[in-house]
Amino acid sequence: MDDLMSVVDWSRWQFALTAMYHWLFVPLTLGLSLIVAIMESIYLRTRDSHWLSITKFWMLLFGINFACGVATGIILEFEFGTNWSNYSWFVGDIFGAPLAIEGLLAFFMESTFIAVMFFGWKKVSPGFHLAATWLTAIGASISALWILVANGWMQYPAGMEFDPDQMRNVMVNFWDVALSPVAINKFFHAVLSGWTLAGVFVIGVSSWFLLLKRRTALALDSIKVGGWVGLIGIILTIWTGDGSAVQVSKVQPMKLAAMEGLWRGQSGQAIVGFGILNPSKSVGNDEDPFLFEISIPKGLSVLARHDVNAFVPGIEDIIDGVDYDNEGNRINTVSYADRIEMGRLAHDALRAYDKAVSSGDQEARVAALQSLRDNYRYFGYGYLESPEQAIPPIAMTFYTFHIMVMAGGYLLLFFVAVMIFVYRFPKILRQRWMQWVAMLTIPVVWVCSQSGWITAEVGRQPWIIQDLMPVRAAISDISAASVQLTFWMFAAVFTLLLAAEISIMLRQIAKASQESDVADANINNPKN
Amino acid sequence: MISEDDVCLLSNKKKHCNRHWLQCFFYKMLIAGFYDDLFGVFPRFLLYLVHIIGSATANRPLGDIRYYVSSNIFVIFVYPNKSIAMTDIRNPEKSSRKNPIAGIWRFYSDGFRSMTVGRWLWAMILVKVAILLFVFRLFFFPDILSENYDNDEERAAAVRSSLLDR
Repeated sequence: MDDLMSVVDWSRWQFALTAMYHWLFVPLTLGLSLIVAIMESIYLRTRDSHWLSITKFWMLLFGINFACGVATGIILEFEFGTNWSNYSWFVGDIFGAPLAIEGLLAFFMESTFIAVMFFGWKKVSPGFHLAATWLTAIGASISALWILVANGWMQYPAGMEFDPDQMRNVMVNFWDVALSPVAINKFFHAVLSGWTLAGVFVIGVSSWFLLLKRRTALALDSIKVGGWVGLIGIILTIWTGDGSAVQVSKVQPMKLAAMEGLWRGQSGQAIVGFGILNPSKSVGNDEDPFLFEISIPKGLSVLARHDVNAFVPGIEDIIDGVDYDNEGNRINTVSYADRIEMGRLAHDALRAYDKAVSSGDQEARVAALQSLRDNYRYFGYGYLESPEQAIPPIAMTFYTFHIMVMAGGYLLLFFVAVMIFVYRFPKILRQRWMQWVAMLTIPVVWVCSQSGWITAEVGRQPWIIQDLMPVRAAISDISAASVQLTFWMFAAVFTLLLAAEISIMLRQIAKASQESDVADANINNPKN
Repeated sequence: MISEDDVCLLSNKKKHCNRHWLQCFFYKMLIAGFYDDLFGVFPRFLLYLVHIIGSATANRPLGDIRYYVSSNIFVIFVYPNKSIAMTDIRNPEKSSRKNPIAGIWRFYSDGFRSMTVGRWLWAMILVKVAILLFVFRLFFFPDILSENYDNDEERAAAVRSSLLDR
């Protein structure tokens, strides 16, 4: 058992490391491709060479980021086959389609049009070039859609039936999988967060140019475009975040409770704006959940159920199967003790089915199959020894969620301020303190972005597929030593590659700051 | 190569060599190609000079019927298209309208040749992909179920056993 948990933990950390590394580059690709497309559209409309130089500069940085991110996702698929073989077999029929579509779209659509973007400036018509730029941006987002459809299915499995002969979930309704409300909400939330991140990146790099008093015209015009994209992005990200909370309260209420450190719910539940958890609090004791908290009254009821007086269940309520509808009527959900029992019945039914098939007992086979189908919904609970094992790591879920929300709130204020300054008070943007604020916001947005994913995936624990399969059942029969070795190899290789990639990016930014154009001369001319 | 009994064809002493008639054909193309590359034009009357030189290098008799057939194929089919191809090199836009595949090839080759920062990025991509595919994938990330089991029934049985024993 200790060895199994060691393999589980190392495999978890390895997947987390590689996924977080991949997510360093993806949101910037999603957002910067849109910003570049907008800039090129402005160039085509105005035919101003100043906008052409702006477009080419940001396109270069987009290309560097794109090259850095290439192939970082492939390693995740390798891990499915090696570390997570039980999982990949169990869900292969569901996962395979979205990942295959994502690979085809990423490879063919993006690769084709990105070549036209970089190689086609004097070889294709300006209109065709612009279309290629837009199609690259759209292709990147469509690729993201299919990955998020796959991840959405993990959070809310739908559109499948379990086949005990094949031991895998078989897709019976593609549209239930592709149009899952969880997946669609995740898609918009993730892509729009990419717009926000790219907006901050553009404003931050442009502020560095302002700090050097170089390429002023490029910087100010870039801030305008990046600022609009970022402002729209953060507003819509917050709106889709609200949608995510509603979905989570319906399909993953334990995750929501962990996100808020909520042990016992109530009607008109407050939301924690800032808090420090009490590490002594656990199921069944009367310790205060928080050492310190600042709450907004009724906030969580509004966020989760869009009703100021709605009941939001806490961790202990969910374990006991307690819930109330918006009218205050008691809803009996299945308690975790009952789910564990049903899960064990499902496991017994699967064993009985296997035995009946081997012995050729048709009656027993039919009975076992019916029992399996009746209890399959809680198949994963059959692995748990107590309801407490179904509680995700509360501290990590709580703190990363609140880091994400606080950073998101700051970013909203940041973009509003920048847009006011750039149009009404441009002199403020030329102040050193403002330039440093903008540059230091770059790591903040990346922390916000990564925190969101950590909340989503840690809050899902112990499940790899909600209610159907816990993480420890998904792991392959391999040694912890092999996983440890590859973990450290990844850490070393990815750190070296990241350092090389960042140095290329910084070198190009520094090189661009030494160039000049006519627009810079005009904007810096005291006569203007 | 030429044996002691073989005599240079220019002296009109005919001897058959062991070379295949296609070799003569390719020799002629090579010579014609060199001339065309150098001067941008290949006067048709020089074809017979090439014919002789090609024959001499291949030790083929001038009267060999296959040799004449191949020469005519060259004149009728290859040379005109080769002229177009040479024209293509001088007029790329004209050629891409006639041959889209050549146009696509040129698009990518010109693009890669003109890269500056892109060269370093491509080097990084190739190193990264090589490490991922030829080191990690080959040695450290086998597909457990595909490698350890021969068919889907065995894989399903293995997964069933693993899941129910956890």
